Amino acid sequence: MDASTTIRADLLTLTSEQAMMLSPYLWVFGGTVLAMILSVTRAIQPRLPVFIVSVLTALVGMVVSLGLFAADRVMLFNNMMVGDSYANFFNVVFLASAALTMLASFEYLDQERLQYGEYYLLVLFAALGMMLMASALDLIVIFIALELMSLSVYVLVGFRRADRRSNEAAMKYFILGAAASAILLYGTALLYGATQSTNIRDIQAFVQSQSGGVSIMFTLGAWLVIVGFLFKIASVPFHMWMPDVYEGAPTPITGFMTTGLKAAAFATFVRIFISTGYGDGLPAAIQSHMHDIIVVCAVLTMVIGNAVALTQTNLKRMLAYSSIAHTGYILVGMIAGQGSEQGYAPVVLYLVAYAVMNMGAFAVLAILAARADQGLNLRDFSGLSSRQPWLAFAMSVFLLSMAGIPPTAGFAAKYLLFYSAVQAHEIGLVVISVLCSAISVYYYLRVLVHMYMHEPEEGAAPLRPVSVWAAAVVASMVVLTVQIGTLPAGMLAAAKRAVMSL
Amino acid sequence: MSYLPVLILVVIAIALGGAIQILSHVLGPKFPNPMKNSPFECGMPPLGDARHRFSVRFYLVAILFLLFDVEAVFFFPFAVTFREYLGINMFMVLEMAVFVGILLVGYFYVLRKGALEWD
Repeated sequence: MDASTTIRADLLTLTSEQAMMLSPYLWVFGGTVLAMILSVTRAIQPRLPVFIVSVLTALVGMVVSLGLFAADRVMLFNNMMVGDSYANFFNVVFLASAALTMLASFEYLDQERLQYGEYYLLVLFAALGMMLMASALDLIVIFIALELMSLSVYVLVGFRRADRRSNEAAMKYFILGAAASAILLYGTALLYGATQSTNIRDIQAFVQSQSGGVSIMFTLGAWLVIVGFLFKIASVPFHMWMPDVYEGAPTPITGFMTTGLKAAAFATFVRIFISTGYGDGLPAAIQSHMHDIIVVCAVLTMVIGNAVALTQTNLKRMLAYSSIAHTGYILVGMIAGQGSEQGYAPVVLYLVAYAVMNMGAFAVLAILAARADQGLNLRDFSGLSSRQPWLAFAMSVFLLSMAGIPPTAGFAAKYLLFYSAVQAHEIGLVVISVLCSAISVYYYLRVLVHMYMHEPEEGAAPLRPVSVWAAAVVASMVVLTVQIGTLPAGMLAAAKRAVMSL
Repeated sequence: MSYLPVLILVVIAIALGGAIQILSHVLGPKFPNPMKNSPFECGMPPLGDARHRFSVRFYLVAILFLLFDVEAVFFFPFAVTFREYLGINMFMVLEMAVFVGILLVGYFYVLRKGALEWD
């Protein structure tokens, strides 16, 4: 034993602020463990209790995080994690997305005969991984949290075990995701070599102290980390996995991936991005470098995502490509964040708006999906307005929101995002974004045309009655979409507060 | 100079090992058969197509073994150092109790799922 080992007493205690900041994580973890035990207890029929415990875990965790939103920043675990408004803001998003996913899934799983307790456990574990990711300040912690999230989602994507598409999607996602994780880890190793730390704040301090520019090793490490995240958010050179995975995954899980996963990856990406490449006080050389990379990715993502979405006839696949396109818009916001008055708040607001409308859209798809996820092609939506008028109305709201038409959340978020890009003098990017956005209206409205102007298909299978849970999800998302669209100031103020705490 | 004994040991080890191999080869009786001449590998035929199928249960056992084995590795550094920290507070002990608790829940789950039964 080395005699010079120092015992740091401050690491052996939790102050009451720290314990409070950790309470959502501990609560979610405790709830998950309880649900896990319940799912294998023979005395009770595990379906309903596991579902209820899981949903309550997520909802109460959400309320606790909401309560902590206004609290001051607290450093946790030797600065490896931080509890700030930004982390709590995203905790609310993740837990809400997990709870809504589970609510939308219950009926769907019955129909698919997949009603296993593990489904809910994996959703909760994925949500816990996202929470840890958004509050992590250390690249190693980010990696572990990312793996916790990704591994859970790999399993969920392949949850329809009897379906070949689901298996293929899970395998593709697993192999490509593992490769991306390896790239991220390699970048972390290089950053550690260049800066002697894996802590984001230490890396930031190191970069700020390098007035003459940084070494090649640092640049390469930062690139690799950024590539790892570009993969997770499915930006264009690294998007190939996404359509297949989105199509093969069970529909509610696809919704979970577009909302939770994307928000988690972006939340962490922004945190890393502004401290290692694009934040205050960093050398101009490295900033312009990162700027150019992200601009190229953003333009490619918007153009390719929208162009390919035009030709899709399967709705899940179309929404997957539209998700790629939306990634491009958010990247524009990230580029603009530094130079605009609102900072990164429009990015955060866009993530919330996007999560809300996608959660709703995929909940509608989960209701409409026939057995084995069939019946999600464009022609299956013909005449939906006469067969299920309320679902058709809700779907129209979500699609109009994605297209960015007022008075929906998509419009408010897009307006603020593009406005911040104008302020940052990225006029060229804004022109491309608006043109792409105009293209996207075509494929969103095509669904509306099918729903309202076409007659139902001959011999279309009768629709099942809508379950209470799923209807509640869809209705609340419609309300939230319109609420953010008409009164975005409240959400924007919250987003601003979250970003200020970074 | 302080490494000279190591060098002597290495020389003796090589000489002794070599001598035993050579002597048994020269002096020993030889009754070869095909089974005897094949390399030994856990009772399985060592040569053949690598793509032959075997039970998926091996994977499960391997994963569970790896999981519980790696988790047990954390006990060793804890056991070596925890006395020094007891002087401050019980944090280390409590943390290990939580860790073991999580391990037990996982074990309970695996047991109930029947992953430890071969048939």
